[in-house]
Formats: sequence, C-alpha cells, structure tokens
Amino acid sequence: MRLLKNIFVFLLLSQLLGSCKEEILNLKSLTAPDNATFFSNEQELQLALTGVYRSILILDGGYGLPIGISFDNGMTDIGISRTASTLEDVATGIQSSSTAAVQAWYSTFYKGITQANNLLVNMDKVNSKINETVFNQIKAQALFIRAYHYHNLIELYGDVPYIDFVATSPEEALLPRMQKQLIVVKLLADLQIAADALPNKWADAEKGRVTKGSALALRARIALYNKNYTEAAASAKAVMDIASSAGYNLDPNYGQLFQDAGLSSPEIMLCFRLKDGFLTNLMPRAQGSRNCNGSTVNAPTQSLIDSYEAVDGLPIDKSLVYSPKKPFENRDPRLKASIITPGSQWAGIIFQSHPDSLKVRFINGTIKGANSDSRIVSWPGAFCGYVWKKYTSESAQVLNQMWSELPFIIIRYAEPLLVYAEAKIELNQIDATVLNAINQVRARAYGVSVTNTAKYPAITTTDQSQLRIVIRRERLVEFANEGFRLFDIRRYKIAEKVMPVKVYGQILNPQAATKIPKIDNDGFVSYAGIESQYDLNTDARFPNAQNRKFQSPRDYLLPIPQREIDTYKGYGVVLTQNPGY
Amino acid sequence: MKKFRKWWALDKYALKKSLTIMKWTSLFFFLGIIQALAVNESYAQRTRLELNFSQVNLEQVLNEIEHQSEFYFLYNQDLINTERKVDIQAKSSKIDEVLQQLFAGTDIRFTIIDRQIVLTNSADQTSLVMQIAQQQTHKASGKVTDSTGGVLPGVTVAVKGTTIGTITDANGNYSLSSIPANATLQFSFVGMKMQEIAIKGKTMINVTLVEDAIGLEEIVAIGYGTQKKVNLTGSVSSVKGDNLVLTGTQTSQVLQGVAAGLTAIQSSGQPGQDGAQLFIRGRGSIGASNSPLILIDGVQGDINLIAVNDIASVSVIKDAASASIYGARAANGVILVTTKRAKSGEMTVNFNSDFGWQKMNDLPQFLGALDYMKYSGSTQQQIDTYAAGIKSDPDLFPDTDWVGQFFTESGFQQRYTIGVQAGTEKLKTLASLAYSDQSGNVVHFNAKRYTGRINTDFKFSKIFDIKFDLNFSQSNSVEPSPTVGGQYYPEEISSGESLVATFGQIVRIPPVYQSRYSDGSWGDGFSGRNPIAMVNDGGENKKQTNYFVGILKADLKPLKGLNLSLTYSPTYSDVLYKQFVNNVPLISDWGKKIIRYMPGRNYFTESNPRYFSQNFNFVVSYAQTMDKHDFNALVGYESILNQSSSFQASRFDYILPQYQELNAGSQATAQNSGSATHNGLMSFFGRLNYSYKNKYLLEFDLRNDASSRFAPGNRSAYFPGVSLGWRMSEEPFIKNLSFISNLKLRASWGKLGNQEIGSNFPYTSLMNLGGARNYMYGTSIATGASMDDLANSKIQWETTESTDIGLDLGFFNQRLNCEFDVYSRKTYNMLLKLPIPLVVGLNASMQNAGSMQNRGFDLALSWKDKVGDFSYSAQFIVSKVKNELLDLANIGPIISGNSYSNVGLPYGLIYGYQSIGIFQDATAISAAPTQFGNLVPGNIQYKDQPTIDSDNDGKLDKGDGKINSNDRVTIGNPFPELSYALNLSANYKNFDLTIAMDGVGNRDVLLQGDAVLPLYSGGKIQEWHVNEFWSPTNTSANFPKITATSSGHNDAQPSSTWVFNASYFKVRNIALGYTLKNLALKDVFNNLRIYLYAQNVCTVENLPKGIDPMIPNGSSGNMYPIPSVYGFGINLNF
Repeated sequence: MRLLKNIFVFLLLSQLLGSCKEEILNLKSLTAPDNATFFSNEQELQLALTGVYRSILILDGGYGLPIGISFDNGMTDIGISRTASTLEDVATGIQSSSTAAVQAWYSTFYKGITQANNLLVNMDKVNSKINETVFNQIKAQALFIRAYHYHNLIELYGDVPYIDFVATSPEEALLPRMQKQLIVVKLLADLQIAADALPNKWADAEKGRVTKGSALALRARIALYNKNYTEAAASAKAVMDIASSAGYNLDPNYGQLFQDAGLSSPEIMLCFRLKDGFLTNLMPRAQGSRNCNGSTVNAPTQSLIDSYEAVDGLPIDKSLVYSPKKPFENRDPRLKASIITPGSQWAGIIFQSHPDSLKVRFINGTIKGANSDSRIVSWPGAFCGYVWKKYTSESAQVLNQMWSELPFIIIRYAEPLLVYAEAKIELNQIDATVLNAINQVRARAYGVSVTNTAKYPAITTTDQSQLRIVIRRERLVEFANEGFRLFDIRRYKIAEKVMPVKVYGQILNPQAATKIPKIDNDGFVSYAGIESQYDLNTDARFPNAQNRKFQSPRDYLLPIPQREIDTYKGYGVVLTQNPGY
Repeated sequence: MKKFRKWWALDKYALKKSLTIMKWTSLFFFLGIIQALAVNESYAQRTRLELNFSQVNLEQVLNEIEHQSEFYFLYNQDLINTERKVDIQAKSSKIDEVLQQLFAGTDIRFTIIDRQIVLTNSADQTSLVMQIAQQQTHKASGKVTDSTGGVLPGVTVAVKGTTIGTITDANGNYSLSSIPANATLQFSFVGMKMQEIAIKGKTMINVTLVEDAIGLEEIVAIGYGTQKKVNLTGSVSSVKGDNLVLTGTQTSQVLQGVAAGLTAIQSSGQPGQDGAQLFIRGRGSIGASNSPLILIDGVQGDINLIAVNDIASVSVIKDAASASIYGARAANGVILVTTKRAKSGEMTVNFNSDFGWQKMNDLPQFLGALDYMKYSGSTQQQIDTYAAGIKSDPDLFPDTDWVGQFFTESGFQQRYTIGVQAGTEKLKTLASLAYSDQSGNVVHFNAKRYTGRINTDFKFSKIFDIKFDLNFSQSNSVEPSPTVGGQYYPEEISSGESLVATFGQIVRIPPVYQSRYSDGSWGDGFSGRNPIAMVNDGGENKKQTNYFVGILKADLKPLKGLNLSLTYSPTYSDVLYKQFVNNVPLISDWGKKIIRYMPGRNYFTESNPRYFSQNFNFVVSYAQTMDKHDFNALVGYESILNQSSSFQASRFDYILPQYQELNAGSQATAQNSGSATHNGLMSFFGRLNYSYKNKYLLEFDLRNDASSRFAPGNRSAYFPGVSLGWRMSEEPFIKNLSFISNLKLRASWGKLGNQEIGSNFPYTSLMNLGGARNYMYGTSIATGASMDDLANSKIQWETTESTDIGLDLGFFNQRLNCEFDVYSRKTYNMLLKLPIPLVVGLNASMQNAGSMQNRGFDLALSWKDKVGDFSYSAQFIVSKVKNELLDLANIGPIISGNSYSNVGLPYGLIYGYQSIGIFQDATAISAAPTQFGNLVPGNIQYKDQPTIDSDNDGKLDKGDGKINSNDRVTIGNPFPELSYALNLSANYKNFDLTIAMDGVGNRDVLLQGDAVLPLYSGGKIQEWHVNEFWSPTNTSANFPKITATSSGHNDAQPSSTWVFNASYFKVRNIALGYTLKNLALKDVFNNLRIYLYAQNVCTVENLPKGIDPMIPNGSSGNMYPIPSVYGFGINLNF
C-alpha cells in the first residue's frame, strides 16, 4: 500500500505541475497584432495611417533638427553647420558613398515609403466594409506621404529604386533605379488622386492631416522642381483658387509665423506638430545664442545677410539706401525677422557677437556677465556673427530651455504663390496674376496690403529675365532656413558657383566700412577684393568657417549609399552609382 | 513515547531531539545565550514541568510531558494501563515530583535514566527494561587522527543506521553517549576514506583515517545527474565550493581562474555592477548571446544572487557531448552550480564575517593648473598671474583636482553569512542567510544584498523522497543619477548618459575650471558640466532586485536501479528602478552670482520589469550492472516557459525635490509605458552510459528542443553527442606502474544550438503600437501602428559542433594531476543580422548565415603534498583559444566603427591606420602623402597602404598618395587568446595561506579620446604625456606632440599609436588565516578562524599609468576603475 501511495503522490504532482504544448510553444505577441491579420476594419486602417503620418516627423541627428534645417545649414550657401553629423561633409565636398548621413537619409525615406505601402497594399482587404469617402481619404493621405518621401529622395539622389509594394524577402527588393522623370510622373498622378479625394479642410481636432490644398501644393512643387511648369502653374493656381474656402491666407506678421504665436496661423497648410511629452525639437539649443545656453551649431552666413534687399527693393550693391556702416538698417524686414543681428534685442539681452565684446548686457544696459556669443569668451561663439531667429523659440530662450514645441512647417501658403509665379515666368505667361502673387508675399514682409505699394517695394517689371532674378531672390529670403535652398541651388545650377567659397562673418568695424559686395544675376554675393572688411574666420580650428568645395556635376546629387551597392552585390545584382562617386 | 511490545526504534528520539535543537537554535541566535549549551547539571534536575489536568487518560499526560521536555517513556503497553483517568497539578515541578504524584497509589514504578523514563509494574519487567535501556546508554569516545598523527577536527562520527552522531572537536576528540552497545560507528571526513568500526562494548575507540585517492572517488554534477569523475568521458571541470574564495561581493567573481577554459572578466569596480562576465572557450557567436548556460540546482538562474557559502560545487561543462543533454541552450557551455544540503547528525552552525576597505590604486595622474597652462599654450606672464591668483583668490583662479574630489570615500565593505544545518534520516534542513554591504569610493555609491536559502530533504519512505528548496534575495544598489550636467531637455535625459560617463568627465575637465566655490556653492565646471556637483547633489538612481526561486523535486525509486524524478521550479524576479535627477544650481558667473540649473528641469522615473519563469522536468533513469557491464540510461522531458512584463512612469518638475515619488511631480508632464512578452521551450532528451570492466566508457546523448521563437515548421531540432573514454590506468600494463595513479583518454563530439536571438517573434511581422508611431492631430496625440521588421520565417537555431580530445593523468597517488583537452568548436548557421536592401524599408532580422571556428586547448596542472605539519598545493591552469571566421555569407568584410571582421581572420579585429612615426620637420610633411588637415612637425605619420593595382596582376601594390579610409588595416585583436591562472595554498599548523593569481596574454586595446590624448576636445593633460610625447627636444618619442585635438584631428585617428598591449598578470587574492584551537570556550566553538585578505593586490601590465588593463577596447576613459580591497574576517563553527 505504501508503494502505491508514494506512486500516487508522485503522479499527482506530475499532473499538477506539467503543462501542455499549446501553452509552451504556440505563443503570440502580447503587445502587437500580426501584420497578416491586421487591416480588418476602419480603426485598424486609422492606426496604420497614423503610423504613416509619423514618418514625416524626421528629426536629424544628435540635435533633433527638422531635415529642412539640416539641409539649409549643412549643404547650402545661406547657412553653416558645425554639428558632429556628417552633413557638413557635403559642404566641404568630402562626402562619399560611405558618409553616414548619405545612408541615413536614404534609409529614412524608404522606411516612410514602406509604411505607406503596407497600408496601401493591405487596405483593399476591407474596401467593402468601409465608407467609400473615408476609404479614399485614408488612401489619399498615404499617397501624399509616400509622394513626399519620394520627392525628397529624387531631389537628393536623382534616379532611385521605385517600390510600391512590401517586400517579404531581401531578394524581392533588389530593384534597379528608375529614372527620376518616370517617378515624377507617378508622383504627380498619385497627388492628383489624393487631391481629388481630400477635403479642403479638416475639423480642428483633425488638423495636422493632409488637405486638398497641401496635396496640390506638393504636386506644384514637384512639377516645378522637375520643369513641368504647366502642371506646376495649374496645381498652384488650384491652391490659390480654393484658398478662401480652405482658409489659407498669408500671415500678416512674417516674424511671428516662426514663433509660438504662429502655430494657428492661416498660412500653415501642413506642419508637423510637437508637444512636450510627445516629441520636441532642440532648435533652441542647436540655433540659440550661447548666452541662453544654446550651442549655435547652425548659423546664417554673411552672404545670406547680404542677399536681403534694401527697402528700396534693390540688392544692396545697387541700392541707394544701403550703407555698410549701418548694414542692418533700411533692409527688407525679413532680415531681422529671420536672423538675430548684432546689437539687436533677444530674450532679454542685447545680442552682441563681436569678438571684442567680452560682456553681455541686459536690455536695460546693465551688464549680465561674460558674453558667450563672443568667440574670445566661448569659442566659436556665434561664429559668423549671427544667430537664426527663425524657428528658435524666444520663450524657450528666456527660460534657458533647450527644447521647444515649435512646429516645423512643411507647406505654407506663400509657397504655392511663388511656385505659381515662377512657373508662369518660366512659361513666359507673365500677367497681373504673376506680379500679384509675388507682391502679396513682398507686401506681407512689410506687414502691409498688396495694394499699398507706397509702403513696400512692389515688383512691376514684366521682363522674363528680370523676373527670374526677382523670383529666385524672393524664394531665397522668404524661405531661408526652411529647407528650400538646397533644391533651388541645384535646379538653378548655381551650386557650383555659390558653394565653393570662403564663408565670411560680420563686418568687424562698421565705422570704417565703405565697401559693398557685388551680387550677380544668380544672386551670388562676391567679396572679391573686399574680404578684409569682414570677419575672415581664420581661427585654425575653423579656417574661413569651412573649406567649402563643390565638384560639378558630381555634387549636384548625393551618392547612392555604398552599403546599398554592396548589399545588392552580395545578392549578385548591380546597383549603379551616381557619376563621379 | 514508545509503546513497546517487542521492539522499539530510536527514530523518534532522534527526531525529537533535532526539533528541540532547532528551538534552541532560535534562542541561540536571537538572545545570544551561547553558554546555554555548556551546562552540566543533570537533565532531570534542571528540567521543570507545568501540568494541569483532571480526569484525563494517563497517555495524554505522558504525551504532554514528552511535549514539554526531552523526556520520553518506555513501557510495555500490555502491562501499563494508559487509559486510566488521572489528575495532575504541577507548577515548575521536577520530573520525579510529577511522576510520584502521577503514580501514587499504583504499582507502577519509574526509573529515570538521563532522558529516558522506564515504567514498570513488576521487578521482572524492571530488569528487562533496564537491560534494554542500558544498551542505549553505552558511551563511546576517542580521538581521530590522520595518517601522520595530526588531529582531525570536524570529522563526522555517526552511529550506523541511525541519525545519531557528532563531530570531533578542535583536538580531534569525540564522545557519544546513549548509544547501543553493539552499534557500529562511521567516521567520515572530506578527502578521507570512510571507516566503520563496531563498538563491541568498547568505550574508547581511537581512529586513524587515511586519505582518499584524491579526486578519484569524486562525484561531479553532470546534466540531470551526477557521475564519478573517473567515469567522465567529456570535458568537465569541477570545483568544490569550499575551494572558492570570495573577497568581492559578487559571486561570479569567484569563478575567476578556477577552471581551465572558463574566462571571467570583471571590467568595472562599481558597487553592484562589478560582476564578472563569463565565457567558456571563447566567443562562439556574433549575433546571438555568448553567455554560458548557468544552472543552479538544475534551474537557470543568476549566479550573483546566490551566496558563495551555499555553493557545494561548480561543474563547468565544456565539451559539446556532455552539454548536448542541454541542447539549444548549451552552445556556449554550461555551468552547473550545486548548493549545499544538510547531512544527518548533529546541528552545525557556521558563521562568517569580513570587513574590507576599497582603495583606488592606479588612477590617472594629471597636471595641475599651472603646468596645464604651460603645456596648453599660455604665456609665462599669464601663468605667473594665475599662480598669484591661486593664492589670493582661488574662487576665480581654481586649481581643481577633479580626481581627488571624486574619490572621497573609504569604500567600506562588510559581509556576514550564517548557515545552520541539521537533520534526521526523515528530515534534513539547511538554512543560510547572507548579507553584504559595499560602498564605493565615490559618494552615493552603495550596494546591499540579502540572500537567504532553505534546502530541505523529506524522506517519506525508502522509495520516495522530496527536496524542497527556496532561495530568495534582495539587492539594493544606489548610484548617483547618470547625468553629468549639460542636459537640459527631456529627450537627451531619457536617452541617458551612462554612469561611467561621469568618470569620463572626471578624466577630461581641466584643473582651471571650478568645481566648488569657497562658500560651498557649485561651480559651473566645464560649460555647465560639473560631475562633482552631479554625484553629490544630482539625485540618485536606485535599483532593487527581488529574486525568488523555489525548487520542488520528487524522487521515486520503485525498483532497484530505477529512479523517477520530477522537478518543478518557479523563478520570480522583479527589478524596481527609481531614478531622481535633480537640477543642481551652478554658479555660472562668480562675480554676479548668476545661477543656472543643470539640468534645466528635475525629473523622476520609475520602472518595474517583472520576470516569471517555470521549469518543469521529468526524468527517468535506470542503472544496471551485469557482470562486467555497467549500464546507465536516462530519458527525460522538460518544459520551460518564460514570461515578462514591465511598466515605466515618469514626471518632471518636482517643486519639492525631497519628495521623490510619482505623485509629487507635475501632473501635466506625467508619462507612462509598458510591455510584456513570453517564450517557451519544450524538450525531450536521453543519455546512455555504458562501461565495460570500468575501463572502456561510452556515452551517448541526444536532445530534441522545440522553441516558440521559431515558426512551427522550424521549431524543433536534434542535438546529439557521443563520447568515449579509456581508463588506461586500469589496464595491467599501467596498473603495475605504481607512480601512475590515473590515466584516462577521452574523446567526444557533439552538436549544440543557440536560440538567444534577442527577439521572441522573429518569424512573424508585427504591427507595433504606440510610442514612436504616434502623431498629433489637433492638440491630441493619436496612437499609431507600424510594421518595423522584416520577418524571417525561415529563422532557425544557430548550431555549434565541437570535438574534444582529452587526457587525464594522475601521478604519485594523485599528488600530481593533469587534465589536458584540445578542441575545435565550429559554429554554423550563425545568427547574423546581414544587411538587407534599404529599399525594403524595414529593419533586418536575424538570418542563419556564416560560420566561425574556435580552436584551442585547456590545461590544468596541480600538485599537492604534505610534509609533517606543512601541507601545500599549487594549481596552474592555462587555456588558449584561436578564433577564425570561416564564412560570412559573402557580405564580408563587416566594418563597424573601428572593428573589422572578415573570413580567414579572428572576429572583431581593431581597424585603423598604421603609424610609421612622427613627422620631424616640414620637409618630411611635404614629401609624404596627404593626411588629415594641416600638419606640423610632431604629428603622426600614417602608412599609405597599397590601394592601386598598377600592373593589373590582381594584387594591390601601390599607394594612391593620400591617406584616407581606404588606408585602414587591422592593427590588433581585442579578444585575449591566452588566459592563465596560478592558485597556491599552504597550511602550517594553525596557519593557512592562499594566493590566487591570473592573467591574459595576446590582448590589444585601442584607446581613444581622453583616455590617451592630451587636450582632447578641451580636455586635460596626464603626467606621462609630458615625458612620452614628442617635442623638439624629445624627437625619438613614440607619441605625437601635445596639442589640442578633437575627433577628426590627424593625431586622434584610430591608429596603431593608440593600440596598447593589454596583457596582464594580476595577483587577485591573498588570504592569510589563523585557526584558534584549544579555546577556552571549546564547548561552544568547534573552530574559530581569523584571517586577513587583500584583493587585486598588484598587476603587472604594460599600459600607461592610471589605465586598468581590464579597460574595454575602444574606451575613451569612461569606466569605474577596479579598486583594491584590504580587510579581515572571521569564520566560526559551532
């Protein structure tokens, strides 16, 4: 009996403690649904769509900067970046197919495209279960975001592989590069589908979604960049036509548009919104004054300062009201709205970047302390002498707070106006609507109505080549530090002229300054012969700010990442490189 | 109470006695009345009873007396009526008073013999019972010595077949009373042959124990069982727990240098983070884990969470055949830890305590402010002004000793362990408690650990027993919050700077920056980075780990040789992290007293990951001997289910920073997140051992594992192993050679798997939710979903195949021992994250591709002997492993930062420029290929490697005239190929001494940044830089000129200049002990040993001053250095 009792207890234990195969091996994720069974109702499509939207929030590198800011400061003539990221490699011409940023961008855009593709290819599974309008709107938003990523890809790299499905194995994705113009055709078609399905505007709680106007504006931009001026003009015109019903309007205060007050501006058509606790940008740190705990890693160049017109509507080398002794007076108001210039007030201090200004003062004139914007006090200080005001939150600077919730604008109403004007100029279909489009933007810079031509320098010429100079300068100053300049200097083919130059800083002794740089028809500011008037930035640690170089035509495109070429090669497939790399 | 009719046994008395002793134990610990054990008054005289009964059965009263005391009754139930109703009132009465009252007026007579009370009602009966009782009261005593005549304390003396026993005292004496006169005594002692001696009425029995042929009879733990060491066919190193010396506070540290082929690397001295990383026979995997499987009493666990004193033995299973019984978890070898269990016999108590002080012995030395200014370009006038200022106004002219202000604490550590064990044949228990408390040499560093264990053995019957073990521990560690200032915004804080970065700041901030002003306020440090302020006032990062393991093991032996064994083990652990980051006010301008807070906001975060795993196995084994054939077979089933979940919550902006809980922060900033996951493994396994004449040995192992981590079709795989042994020393031609005591040849082959791929669902595409997939519509945050990973439905095990040939040799009656193994270990279907086209737009998943090989040998040599009172032993172990990548699926080379891996080479070589000297003048610079930036004399010159094929013969033969990334070559191997250890021990009379030393050879490290470069990114200058760097007067220097550098500077490029030989030889532990014998309190203590110890005593190495050879490859100086420890301790046995 004892034996049986022992065996019984033993067996009982084994029954109590053992478990079956289902519990051990057939396990499912506890946190995420399986892609294969997802996309079964509208809620799931919306979840996926939100994930697709997130892909447009692209913050670059260690300073968490919107990509457009990185483009303008890292790779163009209007800004300079000394971040540890590798974008400045492009400015100094030492980028290669192994440069980290070259791979990072390529990868980032395809990640966004894949999220959109995953929604687009799977959503048909529930087509019949969902209201047709809602279904088409979801599809339209995904198409827009995919087009936005392709737009960045083709402008940066030229021909790229075009993928509109989700690869289930590496082999399926070994696609050859497709000609940029063929991709453009697809993007324009997709954006037309999107525009047709999308509403003019969304309810307040849905703001942040793509509208019909945004789809048309991106369509106009892509067409313009790719010299399809007819489509560019037509789409831009379509935006202008729905402006009043969609509520688009230029913000009367250009400067405020890029500060906290601008968040609800009617000019913003699409921006990515940030919030403490969700996501913030670090522009107060990256761009801010060193006296406010910023690091001033991105800064405007002297050449940008000199590109703003004088108030008489003329470039400074032709203006009668510009004086190098008072270089910031009588200038297009957008200069001071976009840039903190020496002697101006900012966040409670008087900003001063002159190397000899060892103390910084409060706005009441009392000394605050050592002046960290002076490179003698805190190298390299505000190294060209200027700090970006645009997108640097002043309220954050007052708090010595290095993060901000300022949204980064992807599309604002000034863009379709200038796209319309430029496309019509290129088509040589110059009429009053063209001048009106340009002058609306110029009048707003002065805070006046377009008809009040006495208060701002309106454009009156109808000469195509004159207008071409005007529209290019207008884009340069209107959109400085918004990510437009890189693609503009490429499509105007002026990068080879504006990039391989020394980067100078402010006039160190305005009292003695007499010389004015020459500005040519491409907007290129030449300091030939008058260099000594400017801060030459000859410090050994940053000679002439950067040894900028540009190798034409190679540098008009980024190289295809070496890793991608090598990966293809590992699978026995050849992926071509851009010329010169 | 014994109601005897014919026979009675001793069981009950023994059990009762042990229970009583356990009561005494509590008293003993908590009241400290040690003397209580040493009283001599007779038991009957000193025992008092409290009884109050009326009209109850006599039996009930007798029961109560037995219950209150150690008395027990002997009587014949047929003659004594125990159902008689009695009345009894006794208050603090002696036993004879009680009994007189109880039996007044009856014919019952009582006789008290010590604790026995004999009840009779006739003279005959009395005589009979007395006879039986007298047998019990036989006494025996004597002395136990070893073959040299030395006394042997601690020898177990037990009455055979019973649980009665004792152990010898410090003089080797024992004495037993109340034992049967015809008993047989068993004398046993570790390392000695057990002896049995029949008393045959004698009272004085002296015994000489002879040494066992050392190790030959040793039993070692193997997978799901044990085996005699002589019968092992695989490569298994075994260490007894008593031989493990712990002078640190992490149990993993004791495994340093104990077994050939086992590498334990401690690379940090930070309290709580100073555990060693373990590897067996090198690195077998690139993409998956390289950690061996650690099983504690058969259950996967964390070795740092058990106390060293609880370890009975450690087996290190190195070959694949022995490990293949563990299949898919064993690719990196297996470490089996067996904990101590109670023995039957008298209770023993063991108490250890030690105290130590940690000290940083080898810290980098930096120039003071004035010398720093001199070498960083200041003029003599500026230096003179500064020198005057240091004296007159040190607030404005600081000369900060950052290192000295950082290491301010004594680094006191203390440990206590107490273990108690006792048992009878039916029930045995061992219980232990350990506590350790280790402070750092830096303020706010502390680690405390409480560990408890109860191992219990129940024997229900001869065929059925149950083991029930509990192990629990709580670890509490505190460190300053891992920020060093300079962070202002939430994103950077949450990405976090690791704490070692704090030390990184200490070794970089120049002395001319202020850490603390004369009024006690904090200086601004290096642009707001003030690590001294942050470790003092920046908040604390607290971590509490709770760990609980229960093991229930039932064994049923229904037939001879057949054993059914069932084990269920739940393991629960959770970690509670609480981190408060304080915003510290720094004075950024001393003149204006302007304050800035670093970081800008304070915040608190709390997280709580929890893990639960359940292990169930059922093993049937059968052993049979037929003539000269020995069979041993085992089959089993096992299932393991791991579940984990966690949550995290945080808030910012604590107005009252002293209240560091979630509620006190700003609600508007509240954030939280959470997750959960699980995985399972289901397995069948078997083993067959066969030996013929105990000479020819064969073992076959097979395991089938199925893992939830793989798709259904790929879930399971077989892992076989086979091994052979030939005990040549049993052959007559060797047996006649008396100097050879053991000679065995072994060979094994086996296949193992690795499933540690870091993902539980790699085969399926998930739509991940929330977090970095969210987006804002309007003013609210919407939840998003995205598919992030390219699933690999074909993913499978990584497989390791290894072959081992070994030789065991013993000479001179096992005084000289040698174990030697050569092996080849090949890993294929390696789990690698191969690049996939970026166009896929998803993260690459693990793929099975490529293969790698480790080949090497392990050698362990030991000698032990005894000359008179002097006994000593020496053990030397050495192992060498050579790694080679055999295949990388055509995607090589893999270049990642400064690491290079390619087919035909070891994995992860250091990659950089080859330095060919220092430029001495401008002519040399202009003649050389272009390098990085504008060069001046004193900069490093790099070799222009051939990158052009000038004659089209397919070989690169010509440089391209410029130094760029194409000129990088492999310049070192950071993985040590050679490791060795030497362990010495000696005993002379009462003294004992142990010395443990170890080292590694053939290891290189690339050091960067502040670790080796002067003035790096605004950093400071080390003293050795002054003499060893180039200058116009020191042109033969190996290092470049002292100049400001930053990443990208010519001299800061990764190059052979900065590759150092990190081989070392370290005296790790020295302990000197003295055992007190002939104590005045010898009735109380069996043994008292006091000892002095030192850890990390000295190191022979080749690195610049202040750099520990354990520094990780690629380091910029960010590590918590490993301190030396000096201390003393005591061991007490009762």
